[in-house]
Amino acid sequence: MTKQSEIVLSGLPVSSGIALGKLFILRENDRLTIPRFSIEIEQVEGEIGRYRNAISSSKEDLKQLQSVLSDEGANEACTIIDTHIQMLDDPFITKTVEREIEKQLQNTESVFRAVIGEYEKQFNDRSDDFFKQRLIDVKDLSQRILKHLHPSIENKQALPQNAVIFLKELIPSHTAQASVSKVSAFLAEKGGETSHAALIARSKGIPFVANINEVDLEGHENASVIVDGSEGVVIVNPSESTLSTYRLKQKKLEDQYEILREKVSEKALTSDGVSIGLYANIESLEDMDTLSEKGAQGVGLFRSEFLFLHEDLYKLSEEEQYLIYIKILNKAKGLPVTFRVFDFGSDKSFKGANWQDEPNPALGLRAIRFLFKEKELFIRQLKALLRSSQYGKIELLFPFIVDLREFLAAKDILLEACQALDEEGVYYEKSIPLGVMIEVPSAAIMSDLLAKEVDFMSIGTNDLTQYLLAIDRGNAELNTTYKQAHPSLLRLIKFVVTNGNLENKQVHICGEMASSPFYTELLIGLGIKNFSCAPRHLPVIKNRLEQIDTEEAKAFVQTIENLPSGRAIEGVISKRLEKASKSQKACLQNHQG
Amino acid sequence: MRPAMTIVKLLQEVSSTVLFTYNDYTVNAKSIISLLFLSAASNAIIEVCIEGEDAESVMENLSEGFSNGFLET
Repeated sequence: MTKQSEIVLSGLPVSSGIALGKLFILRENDRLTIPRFSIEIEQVEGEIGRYRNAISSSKEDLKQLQSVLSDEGANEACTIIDTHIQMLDDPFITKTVEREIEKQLQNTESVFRAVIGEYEKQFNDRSDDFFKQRLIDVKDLSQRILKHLHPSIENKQALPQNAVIFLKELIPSHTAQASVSKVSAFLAEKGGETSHAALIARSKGIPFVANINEVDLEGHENASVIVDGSEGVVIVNPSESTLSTYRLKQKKLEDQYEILREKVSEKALTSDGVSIGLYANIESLEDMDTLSEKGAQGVGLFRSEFLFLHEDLYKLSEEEQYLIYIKILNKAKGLPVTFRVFDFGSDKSFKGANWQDEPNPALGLRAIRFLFKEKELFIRQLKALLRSSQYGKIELLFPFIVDLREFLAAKDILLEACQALDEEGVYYEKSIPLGVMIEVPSAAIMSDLLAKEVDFMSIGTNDLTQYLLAIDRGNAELNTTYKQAHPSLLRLIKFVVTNGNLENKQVHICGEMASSPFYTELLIGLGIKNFSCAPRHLPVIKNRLEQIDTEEAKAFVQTIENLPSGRAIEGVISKRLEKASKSQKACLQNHQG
Repeated sequence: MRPAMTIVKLLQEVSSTVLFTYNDYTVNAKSIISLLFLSAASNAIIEVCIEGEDAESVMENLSEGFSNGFLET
């Protein structure tokens, strides 16, 4: 094999960072496969029905995506996806297409494609860049809808690890759905800095360079590529010396957070020497690899449902689950893993689910309620988890618990699972810690009673705020009022912590608040001693903790907990942080929100 | 994006038909995708046509909105 020469390309820097990976060219070929045929008048209703189903499936996809992004702390991405969800209700998407189906008497896919095509054409005539970007949003949505109308159109290429992905045009869904552990960087021919895809890439920390021509990459599939997202430089088949130059550059970038990296393996301590637990929120086997490098003391929240979103839960065997749980525990290398049992709902579903129509999925048959109803499923998961317990340190977490009765009922079902294993002569750890998510106000208010029976409590601030303030967390319009540091929320957190302390039970905070250094002092002042968040935020939180004195934090909280609103509280915190030293400020600005 | 969304929200419950015209192009103002289409720059002159039972109040609300630049409260 002849030695490939190095090729240096210059593009538009869109999202910073240095990546090294293998080139993967993603080709879209939807134009070839859209069927087109005439229909009879009697079939119109059926076609419109199919179209409406495709829209509602698309909505489900996006809501699920939003959930993931929100938990990752990628706020901008969330807002963008919310815009997409609202677009699905747009009269253009609904009435116009349905009218055309009736008028043209053609199948849904071809009518839809034609309507969008017309729109694209006219939009392209308007040359304003801002509007071209918005057109991309519409295209993204239309591709998603088409996929649901006609699944065979879907691009089923499998991604290699550390892929540097090239696409002609990046749409928001690409970046939103990219798993940080698999995708090293994005390259595209088109895609401006303000495009939604770019915003999402930035909010996820994935390097992205635009204005790279596909022609320049032809024939280099699978080649090694260096991407410098800050300079817009792309190097195919880098030489050894180039590689070392970039490795140095990468090291320099990391050195900017040198303090954070050096102290990663040390325990997290406040400035007055109080030890704070730092844990990771994880949802995949691959992400388990980031635990030690980010300084996590364990997994504070393993979202087990994400392992099986594309599986038919009714057909998923105990054995299959057991094998995956073992793999996860092996990767944990002795660190504790808290598994939250399946938290599914009609808006966060698995394949083949048959949800009843719910007016309010957020208030409906979800999480533990669903598991109570599908007891066999619940026991199956519990048995698999129990069996895996000999491979590591597991803890079990029940989601969406509303009162003590629910916790005790879940515990009873766990006992049933234990009995079944006893009868089968299978070994499992006998004393596994059991906890509840405090994400429904009722549980927080009853936490005095819960604390007596549970082994630990995990406060899910995202959902708790949603239910507490009756605000849809995915709603972009309400985002400005959905302030996280609401005085009511603070009271609840304080109450839960107090109850935890009375019964000597640990209280964790998981949710966005835990991941943002903006709130760290507030949470410490409320008495929180354990944080769990997406692993990439841990080093920053650790660094922030070192600047905080627990007594000062407590005193600070007393000055703000009686302010009239979240906005007021956030204002005071902002001012306090501004007074902090310049270097601290720089660190925070990179990670705020 | 936001002023467009504010306009759409404003017009959602309205029973009248509302059309905006700019540069000979007319769109349904209740559709955000169609509004984006209009790509009118700031201070551009657009023609507003409202037809229906609540036309008067809609016109008032819209005029007020446009004067305020559809600022968020």
